[in-house]
Amino acid sequence: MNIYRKIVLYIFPCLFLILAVLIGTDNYHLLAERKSVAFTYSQSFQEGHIGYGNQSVTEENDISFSELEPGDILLGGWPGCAYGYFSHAGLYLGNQEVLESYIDTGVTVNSVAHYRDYTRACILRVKVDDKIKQRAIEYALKQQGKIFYPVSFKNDERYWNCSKIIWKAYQQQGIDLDAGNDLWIPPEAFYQSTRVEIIAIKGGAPN
Amino acid sequence: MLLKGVLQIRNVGRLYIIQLGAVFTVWLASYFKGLDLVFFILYIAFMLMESITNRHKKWLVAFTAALIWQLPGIILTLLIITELNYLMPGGEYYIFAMELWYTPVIPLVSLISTPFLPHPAYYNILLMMPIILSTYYLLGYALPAGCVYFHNKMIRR
Repeated sequence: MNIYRKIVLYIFPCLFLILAVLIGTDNYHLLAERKSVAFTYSQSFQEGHIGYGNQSVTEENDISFSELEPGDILLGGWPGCAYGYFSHAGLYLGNQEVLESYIDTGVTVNSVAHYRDYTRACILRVKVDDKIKQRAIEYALKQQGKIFYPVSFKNDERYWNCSKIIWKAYQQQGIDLDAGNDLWIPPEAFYQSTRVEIIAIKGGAPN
Repeated sequence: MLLKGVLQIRNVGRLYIIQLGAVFTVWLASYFKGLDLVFFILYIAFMLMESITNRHKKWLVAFTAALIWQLPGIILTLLIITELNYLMPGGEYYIFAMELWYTPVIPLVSLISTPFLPHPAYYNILLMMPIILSTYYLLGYALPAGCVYFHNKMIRR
């Protein structure tokens, strides 16, 4: 095999190793962090969980949407979610509408009603004034239709998942809702943030 | 005869190695702004070069190689389109597997944003990706000889 054909075959594995070292160096603080997404996922994987949880559990919640305000964060979860206590997050827009992200719809606007289908649900309010919340909503709405990618890193603006769109919307306004400074942001990170208050929670709370 | 046929499509192994390498590399590259687009260009360049390398083989051999290379995507697409994936264990995650398998082309797909369709454009493009990439691989056969002159010089054919 000549050198050119060898380069083509081995260049991506070599680049992968270089990038892994660079990213690892940039985030070495996570290596021993037991609350990191990577650690949580690896623990869950060992227990046989790989995704967003057991949807066949039909126990719904009766969370009330009456106290929702634009800018609030809705969380929903099923048992067995591999990346934390909550499986999904959405940003409340008002008028019973929530902005969220799914793999088959990308960043999209839906009704809040389906948050009652989760086994556990939570409403969080970010402790900032309404103008900041409005700007966060405007930023999030501009990302409609963009691609959902499950393992998208926090620091880019072309790949989104349900929690990253919310985190980025507030981060652009100077509000960082991820106290753990992780590579990815799971829905549970919002619950753990000191910059939110819990408005309502059903189905139990994470440790 | 069968062994000769298998040997002629052994380059499928190279396609899988490049594909898997690109999946992980492009994913990590998305950590750095714009770098994933650079590696996407590298990926499609390498795939075209692999196709050109096999221009001397029969068209059917190339078609078979493209088919085998895209087999994971073809199977996943058929299961998702027919919704048969929901009858299989872990079937709801097949679309995730599909997106991860096509990570090398996701940088280009991510530039397309259509917020007003039932399914966004990227979703439909992902489902068509087996056809798109197979066709792209066969492009190596369609290129005029002059275009592949320098490539052939590099591989000393």
